[in-house]
Amino acid sequence: MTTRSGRLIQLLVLVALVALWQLLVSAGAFNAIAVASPASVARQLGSLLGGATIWLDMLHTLRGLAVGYLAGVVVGTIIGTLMGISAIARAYFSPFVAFLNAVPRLALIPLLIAWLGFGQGQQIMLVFLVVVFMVLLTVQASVQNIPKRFVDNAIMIGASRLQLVREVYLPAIGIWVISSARVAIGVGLQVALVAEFFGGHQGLGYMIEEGESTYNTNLIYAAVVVTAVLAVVIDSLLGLVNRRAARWLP
Amino acid sequence: MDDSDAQERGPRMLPQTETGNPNRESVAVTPLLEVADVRHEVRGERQKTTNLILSDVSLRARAGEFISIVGPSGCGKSTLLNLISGLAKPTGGTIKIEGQQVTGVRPDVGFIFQQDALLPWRTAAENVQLALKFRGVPKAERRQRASEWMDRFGLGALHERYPREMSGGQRKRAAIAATLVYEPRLLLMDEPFSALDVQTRDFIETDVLSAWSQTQGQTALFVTHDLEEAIALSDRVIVMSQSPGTIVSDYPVDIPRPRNIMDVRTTEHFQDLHKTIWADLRKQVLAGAAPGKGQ
Amino acid sequence: MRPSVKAAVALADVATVAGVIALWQSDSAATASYLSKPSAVFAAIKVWLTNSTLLGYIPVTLWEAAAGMLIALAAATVIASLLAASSRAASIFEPFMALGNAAPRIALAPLFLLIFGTDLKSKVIFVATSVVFIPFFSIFRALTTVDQDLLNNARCLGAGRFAIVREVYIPAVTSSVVASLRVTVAFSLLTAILAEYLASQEGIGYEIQQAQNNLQANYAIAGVVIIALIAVIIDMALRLIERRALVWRDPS
Repeated sequence: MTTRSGRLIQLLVLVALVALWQLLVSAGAFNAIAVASPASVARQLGSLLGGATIWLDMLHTLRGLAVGYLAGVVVGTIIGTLMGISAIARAYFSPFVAFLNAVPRLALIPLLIAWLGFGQGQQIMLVFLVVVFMVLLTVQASVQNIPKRFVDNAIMIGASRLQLVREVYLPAIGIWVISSARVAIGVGLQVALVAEFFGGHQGLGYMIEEGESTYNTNLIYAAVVVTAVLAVVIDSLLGLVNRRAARWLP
Repeated sequence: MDDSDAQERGPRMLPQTETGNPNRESVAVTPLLEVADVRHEVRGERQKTTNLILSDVSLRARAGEFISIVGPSGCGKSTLLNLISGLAKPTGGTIKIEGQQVTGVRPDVGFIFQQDALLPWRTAAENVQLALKFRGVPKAERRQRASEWMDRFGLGALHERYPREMSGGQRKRAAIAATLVYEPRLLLMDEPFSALDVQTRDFIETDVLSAWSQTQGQTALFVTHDLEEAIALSDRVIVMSQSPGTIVSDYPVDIPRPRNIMDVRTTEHFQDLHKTIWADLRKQVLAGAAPGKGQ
Repeated sequence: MRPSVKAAVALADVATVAGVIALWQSDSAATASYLSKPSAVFAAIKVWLTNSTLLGYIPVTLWEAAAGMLIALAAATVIASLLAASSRAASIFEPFMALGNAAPRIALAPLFLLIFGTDLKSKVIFVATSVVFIPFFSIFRALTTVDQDLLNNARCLGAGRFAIVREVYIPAVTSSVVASLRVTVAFSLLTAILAEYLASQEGIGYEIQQAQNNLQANYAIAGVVIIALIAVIIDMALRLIERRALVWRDPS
């Protein structure tokens, strides 16, 4: 837990590091092309934020993330629930899940590009493939781990099948979908970026690639800063959602 | 009468004395619960072996009786409750409630589990209302009925609390209220108080007894390993044998009601009963320790 | 499950895979485009496994991944131990580790390689710096959440500083490393391949990139398939190790 003074020290350390960075670059300690100074990055950021491109790029990345992510959460929840409830579903899907989950999905990028071309399609598919397994495995485990006495008790006090699903299964699963969703979106953002980097025409990831191919390191760092800020914002928003549920979470 | 002879002859027959709830009207002759020659096998871990948990269990309970079941660990008392509740089906034998064979869970049976099964995402009040909600009782009425039951168990101030925000004793009371709210004819309890400290236990038991006695004709089947608790609460104490469990003895407890849970244990009558039943129970517990299982 | 049901499901699995491959093989549009055909991919895989240069790329990639991972594990242990020893230091520096973790490290590979060169050594270092975050968080959490009862008990039994480290902390570290091993290994392999893809003279990633440049989709896909197979085999081996090593763990 960070106290007030702890936070202050954090800030001071951050400022000190940035200052050190600026000093070293100005003194010529690094290859100036490869390591941009904080000042020039800030300038680049300023000019970017004033224009339209960076916002369009951000939107592009977010859109790809959103589509792949939502599809992943929905499909992951459905198949995860099926696998949790039905032994047959579990037997059928397990080999595919185990195999695909063992393969680092980013390694599939060349395959996805070959299949869906360069553009947002492969990005969405990649995000989907990463998110879906995270959610699926969590949901499956949560269904299988619902304490038996909750189900037994609900039946004893008169729950019909439908009521059992609505009052016991759905809330039990819902908790885990929310918590896995929070972790998944951070990963999803990174994956969306990498997909754009390797095979996109737009977006923050593509901006990094552009910076690298034109040796414009300011652009690279600016894009990284924007990504980090985006990640923090998204995570805080999800944190708010989490807090509402925190009251009754054991 | 020689105790060992009685043992060989089977369970003591219940004398037709007036035990139980003084508020009860005269009960019908047909028992509320009839368990006949029940045996139950369970598949072992590797699916190749079967374990016999219960063997030749028969018992009868009339409306309004409070019966405790005690026995060595693993004798199958919890399994027996499970079978009576309808959550599981016995491998052999029959279980009838009000003359009808038990084929599944019945709306007039209630079960209080060892660990409370309150839904963590519902408030205490919502949990207590749940059974009524499942029965289609309209909101205003179920809120009021649940509230009455919560007051009876001292939960009046905890309506909006979540289970995580309540103590163990409070959660147990809420769980009991949540089952009693629909006034089941047959109330099954599986070691419900074993996780509570002694003082809390006494208070809750008093409330449970009071609620039971005020519910017309409610029968209670109470499983416990605490013999004192069993005698203090019940009209009858049934002793089971080691696994595979069968009923060995059936002792009437003729301590008059209403009883004071905390004081009743000090009376001489109580001490005598305890001595007798304990000797029997001890025999059953030790029978498992010997290499060859005796009768 | 009855054996007949098990067999039916297995059959359904095989049928699904066969169906997908058949669909792909028959899709004439795909052949015209970049996706190639299963038959061509299969032929490419055969070449991979017989051509000595291509076959030689596999150990290169594996070596980069393994070396980078071992360095990452060592570094993670050191950093996590230092931060776990002082809660002050932890509360200050742990967010920086989280920040580093959030950065898209793979996308920064070209930059990294520009600064540090494109030889084997720099790739190993790149893998190490990318991977370090994964075991770090795992080890850090294990060290900071050691059961207080365990510690108190050890002290009561007379354990000195060294003994406590040996009997309580080191097992905590090793078991957390084993638990996060599958993710760590997978990520190391991935980072090595992607780094090769971007700037290298050898390795599986390099070959995939070459194949793409030469519009030989079947070789690129063959490379991906080979990586997938290696990854799955390693994963299965690690599962066995994990089960053995963590046999004492409470399933919760």
